[in-house]
Amino acid sequence: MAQKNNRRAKIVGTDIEVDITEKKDVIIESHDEDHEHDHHHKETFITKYIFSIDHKMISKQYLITGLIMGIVGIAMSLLFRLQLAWPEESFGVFDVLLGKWATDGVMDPNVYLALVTIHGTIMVFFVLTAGLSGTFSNLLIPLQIGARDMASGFLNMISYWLFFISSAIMIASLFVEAGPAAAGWTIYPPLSALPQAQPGSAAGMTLWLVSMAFFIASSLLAALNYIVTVLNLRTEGMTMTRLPLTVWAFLVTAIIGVVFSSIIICRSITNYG
Amino acid sequence: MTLLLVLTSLILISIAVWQLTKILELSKPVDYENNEIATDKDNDMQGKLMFLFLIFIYGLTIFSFFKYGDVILPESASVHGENYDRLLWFSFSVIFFVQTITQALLHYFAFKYRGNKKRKALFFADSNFLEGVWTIIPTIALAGLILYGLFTWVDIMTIEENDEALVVELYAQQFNWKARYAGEDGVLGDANVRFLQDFDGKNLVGIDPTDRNGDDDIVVQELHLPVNREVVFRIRSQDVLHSAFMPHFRAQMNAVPGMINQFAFIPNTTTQEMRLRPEIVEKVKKINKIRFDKSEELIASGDFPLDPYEFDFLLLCNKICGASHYNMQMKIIVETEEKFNKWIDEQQTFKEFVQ
Amino acid sequence: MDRSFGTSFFLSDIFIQGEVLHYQGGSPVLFEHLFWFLGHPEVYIVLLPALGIASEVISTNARKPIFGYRAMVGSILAIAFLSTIVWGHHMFITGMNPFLGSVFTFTTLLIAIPSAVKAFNYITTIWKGNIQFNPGMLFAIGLVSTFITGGLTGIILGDSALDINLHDTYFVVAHFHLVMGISALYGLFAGVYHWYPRMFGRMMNKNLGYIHFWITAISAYGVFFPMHFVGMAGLPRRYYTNTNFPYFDDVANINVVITLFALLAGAAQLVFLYNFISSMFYGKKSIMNPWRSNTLEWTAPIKHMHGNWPGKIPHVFRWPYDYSKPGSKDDFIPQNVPLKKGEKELQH
Repeated sequence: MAQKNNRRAKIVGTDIEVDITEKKDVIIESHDEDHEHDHHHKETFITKYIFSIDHKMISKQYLITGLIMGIVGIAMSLLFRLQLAWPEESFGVFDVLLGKWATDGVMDPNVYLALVTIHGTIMVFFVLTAGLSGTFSNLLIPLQIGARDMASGFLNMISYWLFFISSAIMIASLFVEAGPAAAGWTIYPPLSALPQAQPGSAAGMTLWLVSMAFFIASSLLAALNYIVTVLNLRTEGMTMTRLPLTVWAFLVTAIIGVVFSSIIICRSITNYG
Repeated sequence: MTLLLVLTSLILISIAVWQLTKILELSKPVDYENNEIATDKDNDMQGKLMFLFLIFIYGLTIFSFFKYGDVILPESASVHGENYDRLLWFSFSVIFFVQTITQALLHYFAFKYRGNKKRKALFFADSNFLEGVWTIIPTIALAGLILYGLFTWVDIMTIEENDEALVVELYAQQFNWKARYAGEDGVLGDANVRFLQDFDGKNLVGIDPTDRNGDDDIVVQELHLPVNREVVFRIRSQDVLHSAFMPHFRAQMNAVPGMINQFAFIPNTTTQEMRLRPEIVEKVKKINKIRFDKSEELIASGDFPLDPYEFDFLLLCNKICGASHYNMQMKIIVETEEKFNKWIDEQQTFKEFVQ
Repeated sequence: MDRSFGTSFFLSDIFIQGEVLHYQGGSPVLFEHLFWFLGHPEVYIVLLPALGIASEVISTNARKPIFGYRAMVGSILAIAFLSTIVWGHHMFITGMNPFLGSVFTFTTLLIAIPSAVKAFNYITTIWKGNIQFNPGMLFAIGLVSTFITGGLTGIILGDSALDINLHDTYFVVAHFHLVMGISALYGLFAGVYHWYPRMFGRMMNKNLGYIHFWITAISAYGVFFPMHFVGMAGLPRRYYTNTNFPYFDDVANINVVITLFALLAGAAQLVFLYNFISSMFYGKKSIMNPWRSNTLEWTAPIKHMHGNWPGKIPHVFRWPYDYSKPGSKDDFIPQNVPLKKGEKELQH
């Protein structure tokens, strides 16, 4: 056989050299040549930044929304911690931020319960589920398994915007006349079901539920996307036992999410529909 | 107007912080090496801080026990409470042991193996033996805790047939408690919220007037219990979820509208005896000192001083129930059998009350 | 339907605001079952991604493979499965049959086993590593630390007998904040610091990252450690004020300490926000693989593109944890590097 000159190349981003003389040693092989069309796809500001179907942009959207909700949630916790440390004292910041719920700067007991409720809801759902799971699942699943994007970029975009709507409704519920939901983030009935039991159980509670309905829809779509992507779109050589543990964690989380989202919808409808 | 001023100041302060940070960055000598990736120097510093953090964790733990240890509930005042306390301290010792060791390992390793260019990590990815060790040992420890816990649970929650037991209903509503004694016949009359509006609102807990057992029931707003006699609580709620929490007796049970929940215990310390316990004496002294200091402030501002405090057992509401959830309590007095009988004879029965 | 159409799924026998309501036969306890059947897996939905992120950040920064890959995967699956059968531990004193209490104590304490396996695996990953203390790594180690502390107090609460006197007190608040509010939140921070170069093509300022971590770590423990004592004093949660109970007057100064630490913690997050926002525009431009990590996301170009890779997608030859593998010049070998002649893939 004629001697071939050994050709070597460095792996991008590292100092590792590999021998690429033989075709079989060339590492980059893929089955999806037809995705080359992307650079012909014209993008407007709207399709690039707002209604993007690119998983990386969506992950950034989740992160930013999650961080903003986190600021609101932490601010609430600081407010009620002030009340707990110096009970029934007058604080200028209560006057400014709580308005009619803090006459003379002293916090009203109803708004205290509303603050702990909304703090819990925001932190558990909007920051830790969406901001943590939503951001990193979206960013990392396609990149770490070697896929071009999520199985359905369109559903991914829908799931983000449902999450956004859910956040907007939750924030809107803060400004309802009788106050936002105030029965604890666990919203046990009868307290949460009867407006006569507590002012926050009227319109505030209804908006809380609507917000959660959108949130669950968002989670469900996102979780379906993650599962399908991990199971079907792994690159050549990426067997399940070569998956990074992050992807395993996101996959299992998504499976739990899909199974249990249906329960919360059922429960919400029976109590509040 | 205030809002505008506050917002403006916040924005101006943020801009100031931003500019200050920029100045700090710019005034540093240009650091071509700094690519925001940790250097050996950083690793060294952070590794040492990790170890110091371990000292902080231990220090905080010990400090908290010394400084705040005295607010923990005193020894229990019920028979099963002793079992409870024993289980609690046993469980705590186990978890404290684990906490001490694992935090030490974590932070010590973080310190010892802080990185530098010369070090090479050990390629050690698997060991069935080690996995076995820390699966089996926690399993054994947890099995022990589970069994001990389950025995205690079954012991506390099993209410044997006992004719001697005092049956008391705890009735929860927004926002107070009422207690109903079964009276001479020892049987509580049937009750439902539908009867609350009878007798011009005098039917305080909704006793069914057609049930003769209810005639001699006694409704009060201060719970008296005879010492060393089992008391079986039937817990009801009028409107929303509440919870009957009696921390000194290690007792808690939700009050659920539409259900009658049961919990039983045997108080073994009278209020008098409890007041004389050294830890309670200390606690009351401490509280009264705080109240005295607070009263001085109040008097100075023209308000009324606070009453001095004397220890009493308490029934608290422990399930969020609305605006005055924080103010739903009932005093519990544990006394000798004679005093209890004398007290209950002085109370009005249902029949007498609604006449 | 209970609210709008007057059904009685969860309501029964209620008298409120001077009138008897018509609901009959429902049970609030049914709601609690339905709520917690989702609610408990929900908190594991919160926690598992954080643990996944910690695995990645710790192994990359320790320059060591994650210890016990199969055990880690197994524990993720075990935790996920067990999380579906523990929901009743939120309901020990709701009046449900005490037998159920026993069942749920048993399953709840079982879930401690895979959690312990994970914690020990993380510690072993760090042992004999070559630890690079990037801010992400600090948060990942902090995650393991608070996960252990919070998880251990969960063992106390999971025991139904002990829950009798601790349910709905500040002890519960301290427990879940340590595991969710601190541990999972650290996961979020670790993820942001670690993957920021991938998301925005720039590096976050590491000194600000260090400041953010240490102030947060100290204040986090400062807030929630004393809170356990408040709970053990018998103070219920969701109380607007404690001044109506002279018995709790001596807890007041603990509340002040907690609040002061909380304010400090809140201020520390401003450092993070500033770092996050300003690095987006002024941060040092990142190289392709700043943390010298093995996983595929670092092989994609810094400038984002649809389809992630120009040309063909990388082909994978090995697991992602070949850090400091003997026989290799570098202390990391990305997944898309083929095996050398004679090199064997680790049987993991």
